[in-house]
Amino acid sequence: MTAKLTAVASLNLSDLEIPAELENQLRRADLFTTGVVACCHDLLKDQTFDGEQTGLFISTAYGPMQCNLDVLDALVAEEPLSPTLFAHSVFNTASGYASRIFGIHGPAVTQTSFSYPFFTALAQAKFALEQAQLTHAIVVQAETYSTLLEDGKGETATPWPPGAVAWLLGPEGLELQYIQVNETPCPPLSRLHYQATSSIGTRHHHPLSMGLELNHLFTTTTLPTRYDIDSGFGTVHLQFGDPT
Amino acid sequence: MAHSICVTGLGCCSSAGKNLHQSWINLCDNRCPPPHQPSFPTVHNAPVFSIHPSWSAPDVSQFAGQITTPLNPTTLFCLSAIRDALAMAGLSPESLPSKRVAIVLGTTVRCHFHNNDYYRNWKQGNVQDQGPMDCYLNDNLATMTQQILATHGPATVITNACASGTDAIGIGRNMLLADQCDIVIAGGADELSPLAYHGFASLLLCSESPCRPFDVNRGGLNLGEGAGIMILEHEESARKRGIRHCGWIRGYGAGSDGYHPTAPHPEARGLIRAVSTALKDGGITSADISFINGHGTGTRANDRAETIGLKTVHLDQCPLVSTKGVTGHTLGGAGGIEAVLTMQALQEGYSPGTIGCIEVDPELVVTPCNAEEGSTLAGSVGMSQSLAFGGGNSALIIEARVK
Repeated sequence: MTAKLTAVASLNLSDLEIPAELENQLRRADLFTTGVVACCHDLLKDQTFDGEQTGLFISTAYGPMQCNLDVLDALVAEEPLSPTLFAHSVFNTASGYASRIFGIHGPAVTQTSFSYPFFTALAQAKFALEQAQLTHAIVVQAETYSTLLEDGKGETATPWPPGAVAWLLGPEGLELQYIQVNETPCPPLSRLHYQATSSIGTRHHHPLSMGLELNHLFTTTTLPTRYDIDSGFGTVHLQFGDPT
Repeated sequence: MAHSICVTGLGCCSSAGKNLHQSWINLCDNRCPPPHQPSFPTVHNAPVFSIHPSWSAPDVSQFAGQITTPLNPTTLFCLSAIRDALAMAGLSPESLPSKRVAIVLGTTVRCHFHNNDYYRNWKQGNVQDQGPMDCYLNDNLATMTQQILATHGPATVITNACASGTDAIGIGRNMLLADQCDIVIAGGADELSPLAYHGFASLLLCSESPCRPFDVNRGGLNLGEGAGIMILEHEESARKRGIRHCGWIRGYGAGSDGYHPTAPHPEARGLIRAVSTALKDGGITSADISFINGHGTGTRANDRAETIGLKTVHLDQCPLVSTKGVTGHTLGGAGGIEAVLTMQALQEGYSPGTIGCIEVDPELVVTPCNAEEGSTLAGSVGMSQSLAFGGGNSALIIEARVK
């Protein structure tokens, strides 16, 4: 089956209002998991899909970082560690929440990269659809932010917006014809001082930015036939076909 | 099409041994070092399996990349296994930069920032040295490995908790099938860390004695550390290079429980889907499977759910073992190490018993092999499976090219 882009969703976590129907289920969740679930909720609200034939491909550069630091707080203070807190610091906890809440029983893969996490996950989802392993795939990237990272970047750096982007791939929509992600070695701080350029001329300064740009284009105008990204840590090439 | 993906190289290190050869001999002879209290301060009394005392860090200068920053243990375990796997595959480090190489590695510990000293100083506004932050930004296992090997192509970390290594091999195989690369370096690695140790202890999942997978008196898991790596490529590629491969990744499947943040589904819903998908993917039936390297952590919930899942998919008659009694639970490394040991067992036509298991729990619906029940295998196709936090499950169908 050809992979087609059916729907998109974007979320800014700094002004998020958790939907009432998710409040109980997310009462213990950290910001990262909340971002993944809330973005999926927005993505799937008008969609029909079979959870048995749907996969979840979650990606992130920094994961549940604040939760990670909360665990360190307990460790450096030599205090007992909360099992709930530890469980939420594990990167794929968000996939457990999302699969449970949305009834998804296909593969639930979480992957992380400082470079192009969304596009690497997208390539995996595209392959799963083309192999007819699934009828739908949800591709999500979520990023939280912490003052630790901000300090690491230095005083002149602009803080990133915490947020999430999600795509639903399925049998209908805009054909995703091609995707290729090539990473190349680069110095570590180049990843924190993120600088990438897309083929429509936009300069991107954080790893969520390209997904946000594509979502904006999808919802306001149309996606370009080709969309390429270039940076010191590699390239991404995307090609879209005709909508059906 | 899946039949064309072969395994040309294997490498592993863990408490069982510094390399695959030593690990296999120690596993068969039950000569592996026992677990011990961790070297870091803790109030918990839960032993761990640390890397085998004969293991030493690989010489990084043998690889093409120029790396000057210090490397963490997870990366060094991984490089040790990669070095061995590349040698078996007949791939010199100098040859890699000219190929399309995907690096797909599972890890959990190394996704986190866990430099406690830096963090303590940062909280006190007393950071003098950004080195630890640089290290963190260099710590993505796949990206760092790519830098060291100076390769070009996809590089990603699969962080599906305890299933990470299994998924990494499956996803790496998919990348070959999708023509995203020519060679795949896939598997998993993790090191012992205070963060994971205290986390698992807080969840009351750790045994206070050496773990006893599938045993009636099992009391939980012991954490471990190490790495397991496979080199994958198209069979045609291996043939052109004149390399005799050791077998195939026949199938891969994954399934999600959608049940609980940390506990497996009691009826193994996701595992059943993962195994069924993997069998279908490989065109294999349950009757073709002659050996299963189970997840077998030694926790009551895991072992119960895992055996229920196997019974449901009619995999209750072939030898089922766990190797965690000699490696401990190496988290993101487990799937890689266990896939490598599965291939080795299939090649040898022999399965050691489950070290640590003295009396199989009679309540399990499948009867795994205890420590004394090493057995000759009836065929060359086996399965390595993983169950994870978050309800992730995955399975690899592996076929050995019999010697």
